[in-house]
Amino acid sequence: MLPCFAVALLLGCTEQEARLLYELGDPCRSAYKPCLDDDSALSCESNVWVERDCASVCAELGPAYGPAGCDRECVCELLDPSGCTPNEVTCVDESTVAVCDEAQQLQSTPCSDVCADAGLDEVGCLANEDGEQSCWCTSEDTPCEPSSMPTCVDDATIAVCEMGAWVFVECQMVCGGPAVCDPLQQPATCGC
Amino acid sequence: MRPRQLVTLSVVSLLVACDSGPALPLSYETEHLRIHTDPDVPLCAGDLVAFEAIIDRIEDDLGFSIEEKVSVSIWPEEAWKNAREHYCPTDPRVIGCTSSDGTVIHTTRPALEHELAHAPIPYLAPFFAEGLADVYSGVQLTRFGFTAPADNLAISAVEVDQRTARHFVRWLRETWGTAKLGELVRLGKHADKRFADVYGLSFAEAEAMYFAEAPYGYPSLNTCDGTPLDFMDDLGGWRTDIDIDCDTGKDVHTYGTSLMVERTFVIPAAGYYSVSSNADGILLSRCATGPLEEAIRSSTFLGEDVPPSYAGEIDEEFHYYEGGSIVDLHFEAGKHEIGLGLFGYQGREVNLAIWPSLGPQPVEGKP
Repeated sequence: MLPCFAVALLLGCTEQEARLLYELGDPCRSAYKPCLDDDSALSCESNVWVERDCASVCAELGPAYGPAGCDRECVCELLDPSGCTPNEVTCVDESTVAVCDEAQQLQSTPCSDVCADAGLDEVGCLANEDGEQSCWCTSEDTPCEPSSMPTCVDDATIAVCEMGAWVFVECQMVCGGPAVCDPLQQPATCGC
Repeated sequence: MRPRQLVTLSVVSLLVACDSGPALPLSYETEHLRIHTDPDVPLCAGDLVAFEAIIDRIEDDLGFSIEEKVSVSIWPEEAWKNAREHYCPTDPRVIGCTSSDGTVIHTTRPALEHELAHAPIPYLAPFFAEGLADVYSGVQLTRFGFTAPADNLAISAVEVDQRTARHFVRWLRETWGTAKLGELVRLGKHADKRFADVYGLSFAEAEAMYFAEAPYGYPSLNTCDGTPLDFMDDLGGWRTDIDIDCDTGKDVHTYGTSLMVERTFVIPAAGYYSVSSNADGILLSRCATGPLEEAIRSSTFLGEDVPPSYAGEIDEEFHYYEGGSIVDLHFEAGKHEIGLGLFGYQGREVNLAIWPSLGPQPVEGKP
């Protein structure tokens, strides 16, 4: 038979909760800036809460932003609502990407340049499944070492190094029927 | 297979009575523990190893050991209310309790590690007891709290700010070492008033130093302790087979109603890597390398394929992917942990391969 307990209050303890450290001058570690009033907020600087006006908080985001009140944290709005959002990336066309700079101006770059900087070949400017747009690049047709081993690209494609360049081959073509690339083999191979 | 975010409230009960209550059958016995569980909810060999490791770490660090085997009852959550009413404080926030002599524990699985850490440690003010139990559970990261340590010294276990308690205790451990912390624990209920006997400064002076110098956070003591994977030159990555056997695998543990095993590897340079496993699911995270000096926002790592383990506020963060297909994921450089999971308790051999991606991938342009 298991024993059981009757529980007593811990002697000398109280049920009172401790004061929250959310006053000016209190110690802190926080990346949040909670509102003090309509246009100022607490900011954790050098491990202590200090008061900051929302204008200075928004200025930290760059010259494109200005203060628009405080709702839990300072609200910062674009000074030019019709302009782009800094750091936003969009496809200008199927092979050109544009990044919004701090002055809300779009700066375009060919994806061929973006991919070349990464040592890859251009696929195009595309959106991912979350709708985020960017240049997509691939290793297909890029240089490989003669000693490079076959490698699975995805479940249905294998990359082989031929004449110093990566060549992508559908496993279905290798096997003459439905097949998948098996990365667990040494080296990777199409499982026919 | 998602982590349960919860606030562990446990109480070290002071008085022992003798009326009978519900009971669970004895299911497992280890060097220090007699574990009673619901027969339908098994534990694995790796769980038992991990439970003993908690006790061993407390003995190594603090010098307290268990003299008498601890009776541990792990209640199913649906039976916990009834069990709590018999064995623990009636406060519905309590999800575990340990007898004052450390010989009997009643709890649910999520709070078990915390309760096990209470068992070897003698009576202390709840602020220290709860902080020690959270830190030495091994599974909980810590963050700078919202209240002052001194304001918690006279507060009961159910009301103490556990966030502050565990971070302060962890800071003591990291700043002055485990031997001093053991000395403090030996002071028992006098730990706060005789704090200077151990540390050479008053509790108020230590608190001021904590406010000025403590980092934003620490990873859990057990963070990323999975076995390292061997690098395979032919793959330019990692490839392995793992037998997930609940009964014999010393690193196989339960994870909710799943089986899980962890491995670690170091990504040499940020980029896209392909991950393939025939496990039912995989958990991926980037490991902390030490204290977290800078505060982070909870949204900081939203959308990252492989978030840092320390992105969470209470539990360690990770991203879950279904097994079966090759997935291309962006990794930052550094040490990572992968958990391989199987739904249910039926084990089998699983495989894993991780290698640099060759296929199409998004590349960010520079503004």
